[in-house]
Amino acid sequence: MTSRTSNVSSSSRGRDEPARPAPTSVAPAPPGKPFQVKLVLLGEAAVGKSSLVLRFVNNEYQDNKEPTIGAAFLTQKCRLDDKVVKFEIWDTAGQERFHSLAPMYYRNAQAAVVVYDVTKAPSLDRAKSWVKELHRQANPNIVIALVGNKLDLVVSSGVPRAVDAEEARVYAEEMGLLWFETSAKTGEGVSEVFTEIAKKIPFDLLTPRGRPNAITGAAGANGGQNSVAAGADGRVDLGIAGGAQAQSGCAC
Amino acid sequence: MANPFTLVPLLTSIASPQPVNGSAGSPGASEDASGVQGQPSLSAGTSASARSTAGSFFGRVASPSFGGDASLQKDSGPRWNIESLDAWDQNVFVGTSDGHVAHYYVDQPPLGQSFKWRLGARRNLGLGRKPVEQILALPAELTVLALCDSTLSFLDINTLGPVSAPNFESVRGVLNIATSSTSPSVPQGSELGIDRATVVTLGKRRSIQRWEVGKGGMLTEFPLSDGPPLTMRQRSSTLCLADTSNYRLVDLSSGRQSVLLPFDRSLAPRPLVAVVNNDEFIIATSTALGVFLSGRGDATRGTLQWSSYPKAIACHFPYTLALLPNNTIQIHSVITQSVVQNLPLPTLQDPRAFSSASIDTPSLRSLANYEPIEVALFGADWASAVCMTRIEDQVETLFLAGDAESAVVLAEATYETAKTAKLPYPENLHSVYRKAGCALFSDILFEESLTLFKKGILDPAVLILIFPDLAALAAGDGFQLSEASLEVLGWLGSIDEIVEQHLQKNYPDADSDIRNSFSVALVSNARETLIKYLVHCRENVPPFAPDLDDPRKRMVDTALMEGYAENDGDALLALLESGVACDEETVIPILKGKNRWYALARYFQSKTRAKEALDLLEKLADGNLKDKDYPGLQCIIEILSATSDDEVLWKHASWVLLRDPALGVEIFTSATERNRAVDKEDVLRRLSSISKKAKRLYLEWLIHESGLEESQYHTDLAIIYFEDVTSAATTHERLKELDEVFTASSLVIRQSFLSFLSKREDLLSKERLAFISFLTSSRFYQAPILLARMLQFGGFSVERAVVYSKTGEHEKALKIFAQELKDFVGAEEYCINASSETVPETEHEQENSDRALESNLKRSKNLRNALLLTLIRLYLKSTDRDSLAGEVVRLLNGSGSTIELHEVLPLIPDQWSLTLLQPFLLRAMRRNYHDRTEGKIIYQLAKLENLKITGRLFHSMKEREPMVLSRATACAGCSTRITEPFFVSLPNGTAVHLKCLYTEEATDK
Repeated sequence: MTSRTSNVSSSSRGRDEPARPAPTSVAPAPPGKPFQVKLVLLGEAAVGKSSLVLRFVNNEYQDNKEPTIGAAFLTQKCRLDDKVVKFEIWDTAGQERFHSLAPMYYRNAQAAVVVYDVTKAPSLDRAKSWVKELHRQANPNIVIALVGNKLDLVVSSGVPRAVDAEEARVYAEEMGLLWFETSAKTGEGVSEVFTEIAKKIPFDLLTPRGRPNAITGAAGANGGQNSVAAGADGRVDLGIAGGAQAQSGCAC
Repeated sequence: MANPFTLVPLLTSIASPQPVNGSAGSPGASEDASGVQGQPSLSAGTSASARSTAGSFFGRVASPSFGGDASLQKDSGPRWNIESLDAWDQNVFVGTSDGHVAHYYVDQPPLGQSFKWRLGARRNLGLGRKPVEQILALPAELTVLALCDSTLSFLDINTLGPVSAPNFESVRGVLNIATSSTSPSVPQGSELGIDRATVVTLGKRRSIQRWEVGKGGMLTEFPLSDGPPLTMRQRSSTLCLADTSNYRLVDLSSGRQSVLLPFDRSLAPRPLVAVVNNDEFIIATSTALGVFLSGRGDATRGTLQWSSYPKAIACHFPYTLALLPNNTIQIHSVITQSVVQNLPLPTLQDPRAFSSASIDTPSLRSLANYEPIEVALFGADWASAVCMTRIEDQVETLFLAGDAESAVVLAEATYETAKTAKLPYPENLHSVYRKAGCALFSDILFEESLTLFKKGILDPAVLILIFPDLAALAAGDGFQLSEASLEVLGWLGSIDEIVEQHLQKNYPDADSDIRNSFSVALVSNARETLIKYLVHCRENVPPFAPDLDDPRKRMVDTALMEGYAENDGDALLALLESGVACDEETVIPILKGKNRWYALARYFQSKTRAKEALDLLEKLADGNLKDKDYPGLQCIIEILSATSDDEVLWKHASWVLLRDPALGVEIFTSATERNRAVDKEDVLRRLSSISKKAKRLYLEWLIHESGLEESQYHTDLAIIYFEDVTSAATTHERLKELDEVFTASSLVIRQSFLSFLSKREDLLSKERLAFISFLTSSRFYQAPILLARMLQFGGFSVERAVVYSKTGEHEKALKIFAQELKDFVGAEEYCINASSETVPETEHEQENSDRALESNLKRSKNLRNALLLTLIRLYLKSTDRDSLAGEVVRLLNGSGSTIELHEVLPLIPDQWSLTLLQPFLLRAMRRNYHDRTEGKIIYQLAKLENLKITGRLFHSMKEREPMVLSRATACAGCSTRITEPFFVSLPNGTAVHLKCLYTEEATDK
């Protein structure tokens, strides 16, 4: 399904993806079936939700990405300790007109990533209202991560920070959320978000499933925008990635 | 992306004559009308237009033989529109805006290209001139459902009159109807084959009802909480509906409802739902997005986006169709959610909606190039089939356009659907996979093509044949490629062409060197792929069984062998090991050609051509042939161990024996059938003529491993050892010298001759050690012969002593130790070993093992004491006996501590000090005292026991009559007469022999 598709697509195009291991048939089969985690991304428009996913799934970054319409579906498999976790990621549109769609995607989700822009204060308020909505209406065990994106703007582009890290951290702590600051552009802290989420998912309550409940599609609603998900071959090793970026993610 | 959809008109101008189309049914107007209706859609089609001549669908009614027009024209008074429609094969059922239902029959004359329609039945529902909002044909029930003015009518499919069943006059208050599948052409899974009538779901203002058509009437009813259903679609037992404000899912088995999405009617006119696939729906949001969801309400795919909110949507997997307000059908791929086609319609046509259809394309010849029709589109007075180009054709078109990726995606999706819908696996999909595989293969994406070849169950012969050298190998192998395979072969061409084209395309400027090296690398990659595929074919024989007949299997094996012979020796050997289907004429030249001599030898071996195998292996061993896989002589041993051909055996065995006797002997000592049955004498004779070492090894094996006790073998082996010693020593002086070295060194270090020998590295010492240990361990050699040989040669010391011990001449043996060698340690060890060697005599073996052991211990103790005494005497008799005082005392204090005091004391010279002997004396006296006391105790205990028994006897004698034995008195145990003076009188008055007592008791018990 998705993995096959992406395998063919990535290699037949000969796309340059240095960070991804070349697809090979000798990739060791994961022991047991993967745990599937339905994860939804929420947040104000243009905070970088799709970029975050693109970084995590394909390790790519595109400038001036078109806004997401509706919702896009992508998958990424990761190894965490002895488990294989398959994230089924629903990347929702941030624009207000699509708000009514969101419940479709956070219904039954085991994890949510609520994103704000560290350079735009109102985006944190929007994030807070998403958190409130999730607490009210989503699965009560949902693991929520609050992510301040576009850290690169503050670090290297000199854009003033509009959301105080400490303020956001304290809020996240109060609400029982994971909290990260990331840059989808540089990749800083991105895989850590997913690692920490995977660590917090109560896998004892889940059983690995062979057949996904979603019929995996590949692309989002952006017309020709091809956002084929990385499949089995482009697996990210969370253990390594998390360790390598330890100092950047949770420095506070 | 190619355009997968085309519209083909089914009905045209069925209503009364209209200004637009002019005179419907007039042949003269047909061209004009067809131009309007058919042209745009067909030009939008791709390969379809090439294959079916353009005019084929434009046929119009017209034929006088069809009475449809006439009947229509009769009531052509007030104008009416098609309001609803359902198509089932050649039948089109139409609900009109004026309360009529009509049945049209679409046909294609045998020679004509065009469709013709005629009106069958047409009937007013009797509900006034209200529009017929929904019409649903249920051919399986011979029923048509028509919904008009909130009234559901059950109509006979032939006459369109009301069905006669009592429960089915009509149902009022119905707003919407749905059946479990929107496309009846798709078999309904478990519902198929079960004797159960079709169930329809009726949406009413405040409830959902399920009705069993033609039988029991209403089955269940669920209340609806929020408003009447505006639209609803059903898939298996899930109903997806939209009321005035929300999309909802209703589980029809439990009645459970869940809200999916709100629908804002201020943004969009009416909610839309379509069934996508098994257990999947698409709903339109008021923001003109399509959301895919499962029957459980979970989102299943990314959203798709329409240019504007559609008038109607439908789905023909893997595509969704949306009728947009601008009279375009916008088609998205369900898989990628991207637009694949915009199919414009002429503005004048004014399409109204999609309807379900189920037209099996073979029934209308002109549709043969399409997938079965699932969707129809209709306007006021016309209806068209929405035809999807066959998936294979779409895939092919995609390949022609060079879009292998999309082709694979499409093929995969179709495959997945086929699987999830539990449809019979479509055979033609195999060919799609093969084609896709070929495209990838031709694009040098070998690894990717492999997966597709596997899925497509490609004939392995095809892949072999693209390699010219392999094709040549397989040539003349009487098999026939199937037509499909030939086609695939045609697509692929030869590997050289593929590589050449690839290089032309991608590296047109590269110089010839680079191109050559690229080409070599690519061909070898392709070969690897081939080998992987062939391995897959070999391992997965069952699915290939129909195709993998003998010649093909031979071909696969040949090609694999050729491939492995090129660069994978281990795999080659494993392949040959597993057995190959090809004949020798094929195998041998390949292996020879690639210098796979070792593999060839193994092959000969497997074909029981041991001789040739051995010849090759010997050449390899001698270095006349080279093969890095050759593991050494061991493989020759293996073959020879198994061979039963004496001539071959001895010819090659002697060859091996001369090179490596130790290895060579394994030929005869390995655990094979032959070696168990072999004539050992014969082997020995032959071995002794070849190599003495081999004979020695073989004898050692016979004696140590097989445990043979024949005196001859033991003697022979002993003599071989003897000869090895003598040849190592050359003269007896050398032996003596060694003894002297020992005697000298033992003054410094206290050690036995044996341990002295075992520490030495020289050959003589080793040989002597081997000889001595054999002499010590074996009991079966003929001692006199050996003794004679040793005496004749002279100088054997310990060896003689060991032999003496075997003949029981312990004193002679001890003399050698004590006097010749001055090996005091050895002498002491001798005393202990010789005594413990005593084996149980045969008479003892039959007895209770404990008693035998006990007496054995006693005897060996006695013997040991005797030997020690002898030794002590020897020491004391010796000339320098005082210097040996230490030895004597050591013996007495150590191993000799059990020697009886009175036997030793007379031997001890008077002048030896008491202190020297004190430990021995003390211990001996204590032991003596102990023994005596213990003896007394035992004596008293026995006496007590005896007294007790005598007492009991006395009592019983007093109580019982004496027993008289007559001639007739027989033993109760053995039934013979008792003649002995002692017998046993049993309490029951019978008598038994003493010897029968226990057996008697035993039988009683």
